[in-house]
Amino acid sequence: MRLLGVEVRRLLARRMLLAAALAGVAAVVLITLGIWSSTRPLTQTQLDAAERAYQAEVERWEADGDEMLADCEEAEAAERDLTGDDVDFGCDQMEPQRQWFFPERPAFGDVAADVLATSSVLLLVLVLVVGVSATAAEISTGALGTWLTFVPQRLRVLASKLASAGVVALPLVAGLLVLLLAGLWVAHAVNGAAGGTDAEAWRDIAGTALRILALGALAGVVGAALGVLLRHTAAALGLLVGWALVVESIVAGLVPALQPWLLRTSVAAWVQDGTTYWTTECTVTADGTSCQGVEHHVSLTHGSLWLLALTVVLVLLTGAVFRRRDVV
Amino acid sequence: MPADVAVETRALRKTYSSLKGRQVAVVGLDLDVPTGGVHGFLGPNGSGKTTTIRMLLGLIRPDSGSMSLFGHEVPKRLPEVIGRVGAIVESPKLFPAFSGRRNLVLLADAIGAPRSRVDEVLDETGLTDRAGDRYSSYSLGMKQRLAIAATLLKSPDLLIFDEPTNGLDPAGIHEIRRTMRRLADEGRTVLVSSHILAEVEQVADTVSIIGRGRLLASGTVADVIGDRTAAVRVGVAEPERAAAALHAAGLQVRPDGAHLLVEGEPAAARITYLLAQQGLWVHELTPVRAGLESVFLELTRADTLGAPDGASPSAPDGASPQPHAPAPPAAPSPPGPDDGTTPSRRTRGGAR
Repeated sequence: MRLLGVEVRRLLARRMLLAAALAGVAAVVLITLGIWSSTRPLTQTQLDAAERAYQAEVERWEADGDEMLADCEEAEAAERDLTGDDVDFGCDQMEPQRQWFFPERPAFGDVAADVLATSSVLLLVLVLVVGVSATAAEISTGALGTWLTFVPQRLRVLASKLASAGVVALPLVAGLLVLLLAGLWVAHAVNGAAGGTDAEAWRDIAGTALRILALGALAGVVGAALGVLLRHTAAALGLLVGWALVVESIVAGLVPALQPWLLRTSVAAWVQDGTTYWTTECTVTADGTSCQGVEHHVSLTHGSLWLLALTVVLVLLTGAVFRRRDVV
Repeated sequence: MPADVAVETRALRKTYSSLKGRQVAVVGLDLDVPTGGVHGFLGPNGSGKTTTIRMLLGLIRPDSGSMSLFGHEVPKRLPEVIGRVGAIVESPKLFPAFSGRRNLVLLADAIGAPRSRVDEVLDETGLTDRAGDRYSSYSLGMKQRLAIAATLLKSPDLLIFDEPTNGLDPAGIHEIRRTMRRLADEGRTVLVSSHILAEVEQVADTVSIIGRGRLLASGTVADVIGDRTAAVRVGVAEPERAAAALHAAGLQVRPDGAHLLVEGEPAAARITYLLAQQGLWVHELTPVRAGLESVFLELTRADTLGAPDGASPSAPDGASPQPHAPAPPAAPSPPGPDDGTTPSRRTRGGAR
């Protein structure tokens, strides 16, 4: 614990942590401004324009509505005959509705959890950079060699460095989450959309924030482990970017079966208390090939266990490498 | 291991592997550093000094052989003895963005040393006034002093300094030398590696000379130098004619003021004989005593030239290095027949 305390104090004194915190605050301010902008009441000019657009659509519907409805129902019937499925083109919902042109402003309770979940990616990236840099910089400056001449027990040193990155991630992520939530509330309150948040919405918000916090700690550990493994901040960050581009995008597109095992799917499942993804499934019949999108669910348990397993494997690998590596 | 030995290695070997091939850095090194005093660990660049020190400190793993610090087998029992060892390997490496004091506080906390010890070592190394400045703003000399301060946090019995004067100005070199002497006089053992022999000669009590990863000689400075001469100073009436005569006889001669300096290990009797043949009468013939540097150069040059199998430890492997066959210390050689220049020193490894 003594070594962990020393490492935590070292990380807290690093300029990189301050830089990450400032970057996080800047991002939170931008997100808050975006939310404030989207929750502003419509101006009179916007209201007039919306009213004009609505009236124009009503007039078009009154003139051509019967014909449009008939076309829709005809296409729906043709598709039903072709596939044998009970398809619904939504023809009975074609008549213009006023609310389409005068969108309701989202309330704080309706969007806060989603905004937190979306912003979590940014927080995780910041924490990863802090973790990677904490260990890689120490190795590249040679300070690790000096450290080991004071504490030669390598696994103990490694454990303290990885754990401290996780511990330091907590106040960073917590602070930014609190700031973001406060910013969201103020943005909604200023625009008169902060009220009506019920207990369930608050529970949802709190649950999401706590899960992001835990994931932040895990990301700190992963970043520090990558820093030890690859020894250079640029190499570790390059690996992360490469993984995101190659595995999470290209390979995932080529092999849809990988979807539930992708990091982004698991992260989404953890942060959002379960998530869904879509695959296209095709069947070949006498009439041809018919494809349709199928929705799959990934549970919070699946996401959390997979992320935990990957982290454990990475930490064990780092331990095995660091224990035997020559420190020069 | 005897109680009076601080550092001992036996048949120590280390090979580095890289994409370019394998490089043998240390080949069956037997090293003994006695307790107390300053021990110079000498060798040319690339001879394996830093690799040996890193192995002793557990920073790199030897391929084979054994090592011990104060009788504790390392790296296995390094944690038990590390509190008695302070080391600076190559250049001082601390956290550049932190102040000198913060660096020391972190290290002190890591080993459980009291915070008051930080102030003591800062004072001891004359860094109190600059303790709050960032380490990256320190001069090389100050960095070196801070690194020494860091090693003193433990109150170590053994201090290992690897090329501590690299890049320092004369004042810095003098200060480091004084510090090492002071630490040794306090009863600690100081192991200092260097390739700058004149410095080490001034401060070391004992030395080990290595070349191409092997021990070439070890013992007290006086033993290693022996009573050999590096040159003979000749006073003669016609120095130019005398120089030509000696040169013609194959001796290396250069003017030294009004005198001549005959370099190498010349036999005094031969010089007088050669000059007498020319009718030149010598009025002064003074042996110039060899320094550690000349012994070092001779040993390392001979080691390079006399490589028995052409296997250079620093050459990409494939070529296997010379098998290590530790030899007992050679018996002191008898004095030369008439010039008294044969050295008396302990040698190892069969390289001589």
